[in-house]
Amino acid sequence: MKFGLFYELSTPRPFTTENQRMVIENAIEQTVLADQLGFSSVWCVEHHFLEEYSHSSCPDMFLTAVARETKDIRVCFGIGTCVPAMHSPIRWAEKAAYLDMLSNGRVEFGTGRSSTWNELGGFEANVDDTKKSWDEYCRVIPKMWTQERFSYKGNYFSMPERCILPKPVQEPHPPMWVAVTAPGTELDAADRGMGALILSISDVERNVPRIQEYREHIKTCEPVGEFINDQVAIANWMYCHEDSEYAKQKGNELIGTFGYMAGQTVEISEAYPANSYKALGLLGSLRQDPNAPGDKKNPPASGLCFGDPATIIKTIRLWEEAGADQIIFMVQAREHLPQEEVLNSMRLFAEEVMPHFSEDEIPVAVNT
Amino acid sequence: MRYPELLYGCGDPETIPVSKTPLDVSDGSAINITNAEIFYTLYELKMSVAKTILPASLHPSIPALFSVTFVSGEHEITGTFNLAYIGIACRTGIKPRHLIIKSFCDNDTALKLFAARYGFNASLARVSCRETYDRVNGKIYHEDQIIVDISIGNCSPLVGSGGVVKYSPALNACLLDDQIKLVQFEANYDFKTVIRGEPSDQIFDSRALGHEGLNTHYPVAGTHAVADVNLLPARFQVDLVNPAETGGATKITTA
Repeated sequence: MKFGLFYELSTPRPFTTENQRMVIENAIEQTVLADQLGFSSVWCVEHHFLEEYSHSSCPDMFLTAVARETKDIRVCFGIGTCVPAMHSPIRWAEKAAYLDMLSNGRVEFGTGRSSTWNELGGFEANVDDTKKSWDEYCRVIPKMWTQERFSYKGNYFSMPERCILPKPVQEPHPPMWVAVTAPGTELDAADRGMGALILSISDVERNVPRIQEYREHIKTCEPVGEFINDQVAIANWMYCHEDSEYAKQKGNELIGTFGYMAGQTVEISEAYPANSYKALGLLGSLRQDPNAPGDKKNPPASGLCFGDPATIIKTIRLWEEAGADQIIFMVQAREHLPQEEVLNSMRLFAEEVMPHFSEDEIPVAVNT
Repeated sequence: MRYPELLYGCGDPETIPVSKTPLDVSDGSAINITNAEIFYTLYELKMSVAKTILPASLHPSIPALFSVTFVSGEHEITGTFNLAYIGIACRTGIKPRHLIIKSFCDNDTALKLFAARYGFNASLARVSCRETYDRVNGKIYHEDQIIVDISIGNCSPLVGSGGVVKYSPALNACLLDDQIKLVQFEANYDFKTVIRGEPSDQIFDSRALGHEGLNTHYPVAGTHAVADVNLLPARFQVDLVNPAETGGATKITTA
């Protein structure tokens, strides 16, 4: 089991220079510590116009800053949006390869298509076609990395023959991933031989069948790249503290803050009903109504990593049994926690939890 | 400070039209309308306009949006009716809703029913909604003048529409226990057909609707659905004056 960090770069109002810089600088400080502590990856989202929820409009720039401050940790697009109104696939191939150079081969490239009207409407993107353009981007980007010269005639993207530069450091190319929120997208990932970056409510039981089906499907995949990236990463939350109740309380506060920020977005299905967006995205699915007494409240997700080290070890064992390869943690929301608490939580996790999941694992009973 | 704190409405609550009919919550049964037609169009509007309409108890949606909805149906109590309402997208806490700022109904019995059960402050007016071979058109008349004439064209069907179309609950300002409250109007929908099209308008008389800042320059989408609609009894009230974080939605208690 590997562990990583996941960044939305959520930012408290007012959007002063001080607040915006604090979020970015604190996040970079966390990634530097994570690199020293043995975390394996840093993932950064791409979002636009999502006030408070995410000010991460340029993940390539954040990841570049991280790459230059760190040595080993992998720098991962989580994700790059594959929508023509936002990006040409050429630019994604160039940016990922450039970062692969600057990080000396540490890039992982996640792909996705956005699920909010804030973003797709803001760019006047064709909502009906995002799944199809995503599919086309997934297929051309690896070829841009691996072919000396590339040309293409497609439905959503075409180009005459050019040499796309630079080429990535990693041979044959960086691993490819898909953001998985809506049910069934894990199969889209598997069919294409891409890793599944599962961004859903962190409930182990709900994800077991998804992971199993992913594993089954990927056996017969036709990979879009030069190799199959047979990995499942679970986006999750983590707050580790010696006092388990305190940790759970802080965790609930983080989730509440996150849900509140998610509530400020407009899901596609609320604005532009489309066959290509039948299921609520992550943000919409988080939108329960805390002010509606009597409405059924969902119990806390079973896979959240809030608690003392022993509690978190037990939870990660569940994910391990479910078949996850790595868990990538959100450790902050809108700077709700003081930076020192976040860093201490990471230190305690690295000291007390990570050794139980290393290759030379310490055989210690955790329920004593 | 470069940008303001959390976005709140700053509209004068006194300007929100209030139904004078006290809300009657004594009948807890739902109203079922078979094969109702729902014609719904959504538009973006300037945040500054949304903020000046919404009261402090509501946050504007981001981006700011407003909707025009036509509901046509037949019920044993009312007979056939056409109801139309205009709502500003908002949220209380994290739940999306639409504050109704103007509503119209062409059937006096239905008008009284919607006022008593759901707090609508509808004006009696001619309202029509019609699906033709290439478009869906909705019209609202006021004093023999058409004040709203909107259509959707270039329509295409949505499959599996039950999971695709979402209507945010409406909020109506009305009297509840002698106090002005925003009462939630909500329903369950069993969709039979849904088409989506591009909204266009011939007439959108924002002055007649009481808010000149509203315009349809930036349409988002429009749908026409046929559905069995289950109108739930009023369950939730929202504070009109206090910010959502201190006011918010509470359950309506019945005697």
